[in-house]
Amino acid sequence: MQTLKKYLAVASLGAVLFSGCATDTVNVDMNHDKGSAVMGLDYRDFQASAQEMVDSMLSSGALNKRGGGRYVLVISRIINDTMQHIDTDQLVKKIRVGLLRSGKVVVTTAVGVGGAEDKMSMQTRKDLRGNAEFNQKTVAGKGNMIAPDLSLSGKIIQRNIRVDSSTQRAEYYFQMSLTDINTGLAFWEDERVIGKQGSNQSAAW
Amino acid sequence: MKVIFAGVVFMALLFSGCVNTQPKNNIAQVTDKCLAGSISITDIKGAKQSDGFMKTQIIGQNRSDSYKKLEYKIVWLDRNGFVIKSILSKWREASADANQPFYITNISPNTKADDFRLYIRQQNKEIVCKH
Repeated sequence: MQTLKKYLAVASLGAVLFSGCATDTVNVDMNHDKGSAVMGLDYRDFQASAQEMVDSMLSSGALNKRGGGRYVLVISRIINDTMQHIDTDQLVKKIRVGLLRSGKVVVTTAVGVGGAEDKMSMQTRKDLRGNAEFNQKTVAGKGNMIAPDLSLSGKIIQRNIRVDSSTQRAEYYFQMSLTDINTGLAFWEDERVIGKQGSNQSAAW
Repeated sequence: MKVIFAGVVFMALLFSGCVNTQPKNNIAQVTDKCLAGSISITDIKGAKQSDGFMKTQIIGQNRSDSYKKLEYKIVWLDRNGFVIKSILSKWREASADANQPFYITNISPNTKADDFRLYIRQQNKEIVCKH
C-alpha cells in the first residue's frame, strides 16, 4: 500500500510537471515578427527578397512601356537549387502582386512553362465553343488572348559552408531576370544574397 | 541599464534644404528612444519622376562609434491622404556605418503616391539603453 502511494505521488508530480511544459500556441503577428532567425528560408526572407526585386524593377524603368500602357508578363521557370523543399510561388506571388499593383504590368495565366497556369481560360474555349447550351456571344472569341511581352525567370541557390566544428554558414542567392520575349534580351536583372550563420546542429533544409 | 520594449518617440521634422522637391507632410519618426540618440535624419527628399513614380532619398547620420543595423519602412499616401497598401511598405533593413552618413532610396509602389512617411527602428528585439 505504501509503495502504491509512492507511485501515485510520483505519477501525479510528473503529470503536473509535464502539463506545465507544454508551449502555448499563439498567433504570430506577421507585421511585427521578432521570432528568432532560422537557418532555412522563412517567409521573412521571401518577403524581403520580393520587396527588393519589386523595388529594383520599378526603379530601373524597365517596366515603362513605350507609348504608355501595361506590359503583359508571363512567369517562366523559377529554379529551386536549394536543399529545401520550396514552393517558389512563395517568392513569385509576392512579386506578381507588387508588380500588378504598380499598374505597369499585367500577368497572363493562360501561358506557362508547364502549360497554362490557369487551364480554365483554354478549357472554356474548347468546351463551350459551338456548344448549343451556351449563348455563343458570351463565349470567348478566337484571337482575343493577349500574348506576353515579358518573361520573368529566376533561380534560388543555396551554398553551405562549414565555419568551424560547431558552426555553419548558409548563403542563399535570389537571382531574377526579366526578358523581352520579342528580342530575347534581358531588360532587367538583379540578385539578392541572404547569409545565415548558426549551429551545425541546425538543419539548413 | 534599462530595457525598453517599445515606445514611439517623435524625433524630427527636418524640412531644410529641399523645399522644391519636398512632399507635403513627410515625417521621420524614430520608433526607439535609444536610436534617437545616435541616429538622426538630416534630409528627406521626394520627387515625382517623369513616369509618375515618386522617388525618395533619405539621408541620415550615425553619430555613434559602432556600426548599426536599422529597420525602416515607408508608408505611401495618395493625394487624398489614403494609405497605399504595398509590399514596398514592409519593414526593410538598412545599415549605418560608424560616424558616417547613410542613405536610403526608395521608389513608390505606383504612380498614385503623392506623399510618404518614414519610420526607423533598430533591429534588435529589445533595446538596451544606458542612462
